[in-house]
Amino acid sequence: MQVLTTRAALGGPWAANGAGTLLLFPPSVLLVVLQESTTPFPSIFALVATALAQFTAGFAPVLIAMIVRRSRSTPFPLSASFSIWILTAVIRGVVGGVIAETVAGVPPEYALRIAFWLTLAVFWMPVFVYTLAHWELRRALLGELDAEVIRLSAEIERGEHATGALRDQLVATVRDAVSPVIDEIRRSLAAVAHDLDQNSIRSIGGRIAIVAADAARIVDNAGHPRRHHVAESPHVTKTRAVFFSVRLPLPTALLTGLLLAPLAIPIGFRASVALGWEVAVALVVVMASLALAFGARRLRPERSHGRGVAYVFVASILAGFTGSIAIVALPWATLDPTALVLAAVLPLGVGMCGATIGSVLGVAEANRELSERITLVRADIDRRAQDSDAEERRVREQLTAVLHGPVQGRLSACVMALNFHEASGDSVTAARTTFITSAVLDHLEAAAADLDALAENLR
Amino acid sequence: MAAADCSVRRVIVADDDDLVRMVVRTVLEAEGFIVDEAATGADAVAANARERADLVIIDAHMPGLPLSTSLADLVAARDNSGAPGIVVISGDLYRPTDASDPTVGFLAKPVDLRTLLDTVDLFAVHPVGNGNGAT
Repeated sequence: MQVLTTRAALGGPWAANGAGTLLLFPPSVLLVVLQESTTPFPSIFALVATALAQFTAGFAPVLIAMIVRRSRSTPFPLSASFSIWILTAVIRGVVGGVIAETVAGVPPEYALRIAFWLTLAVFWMPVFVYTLAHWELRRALLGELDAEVIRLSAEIERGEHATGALRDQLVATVRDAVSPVIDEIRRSLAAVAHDLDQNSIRSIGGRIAIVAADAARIVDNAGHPRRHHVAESPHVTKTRAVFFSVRLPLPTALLTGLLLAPLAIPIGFRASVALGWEVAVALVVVMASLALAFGARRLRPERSHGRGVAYVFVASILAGFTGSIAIVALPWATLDPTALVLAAVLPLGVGMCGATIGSVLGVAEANRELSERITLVRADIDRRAQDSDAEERRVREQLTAVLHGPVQGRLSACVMALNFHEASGDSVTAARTTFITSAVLDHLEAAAADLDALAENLR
Repeated sequence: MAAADCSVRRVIVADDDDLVRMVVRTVLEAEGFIVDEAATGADAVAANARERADLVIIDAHMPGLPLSTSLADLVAARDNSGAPGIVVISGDLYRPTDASDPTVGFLAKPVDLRTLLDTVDLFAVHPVGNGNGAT
């Protein structure tokens, strides 16, 4: 069973990854917009510029870590992963402060900015990286499962083949290989029956010996167990990897709100004390909405399978809207620019956070179940393979037994009769030759009839 | 032809194929053996009990008694000299597991005349006190 340890998840490729960093670009832009809502930038372009600059500068430690990773086969230690994220946070805070001071002429507030990004690095990066690592494992497991299911189907087909079709195939192979030769030998022997010399006897005896040996060899070699191998796991789309049931709805709601709090509430308090409390109340509303939405979902668990993350994402966006309404509609609402920006970005922020938390709480369990399922399918394949092997052995033994008596036995008797007769040399009489020829022809005829009746004899 | 023992020895040829019995009988009689035929394992065991043969040539696949039973009965009937010698003859490519006893000979069908006579010569054992003399 494949298990992804926390160290492997947090110290693996996703700890410092180009694609992962790009995935973080949209939420980081949202956070910059939120953070800079009180900064008097001269234009929207300055806001975009600071978001881009912070993102690009913050990518430097990730890039270095990616280069270091190339020479490593083991995961980073947790301390290294956290160091990368913390360094990124510090760089972002410093770059943001420098730009705010330079472009907007406000104090850089390095401590505040760095603390904001550190909160993200310490609370959210582990969640994000852990989720991505498990999604990747999930894709691999789904691919493995698909491959095993293909093998299982092939094994089921082989099992069905082993009983009926294999027997027919073996009988047909033996009959196709042996019957025409016997017929031809019979014709040859009948043609020279009245003038059978030593050479003819030796030649016909040799041909019958070959056909007798062929019959035995065909049964021995044909229909050996075939194992189906799937060279590589089928491709699994990224979308399919996130289709799993999200468990623990209430903890998901609670954690989403709690982990958003250290990001959103300080921004509110930074604008005004009133807004700080508004954001706190809004997050409580968000948590309550999430709990209601997830709880309602839990009442219909049969519908949750396969669409869990998508549902959580949409439900979280809607819950975010209730938070937005709370921010702008509370009796003491301040409705300043920060409040409006907060209200605007909250739905998407809650959506992304809810989906991430929902994933992190469900994906490890989903992967464990998937891994167990793969183990079960493999056990089923092995069991079926053993059954099929045994069945194929039984069919071969059955055919060998049937072949031996009626067919091979008669052919062997013909060979011995002709060979012994030929070895008797000149001492044999014509009457004896006629008798042996006639007995061999009768035997060959009987062997041909037995071959024709082979399939029926095996039923 | 192989030089079989000059004293008269008795062989039971047990095979459900009459052609095999007939041709083996013909060549062994030509070599001076007394030959009895049996079409089943049970007949072979009974014939040996009656005639006290030097050798039983027995086909591995015959109707009636399984080979293991026939062999066990024949081995149990051996006297102090080890008679009768036993040779299993079979169309199988390999010696049947039922005939794994090293004192039992094996011939794969179709057997050539030289091999048959050599094997008969090797495994035929005179029963003690049958009047034919010991080999």
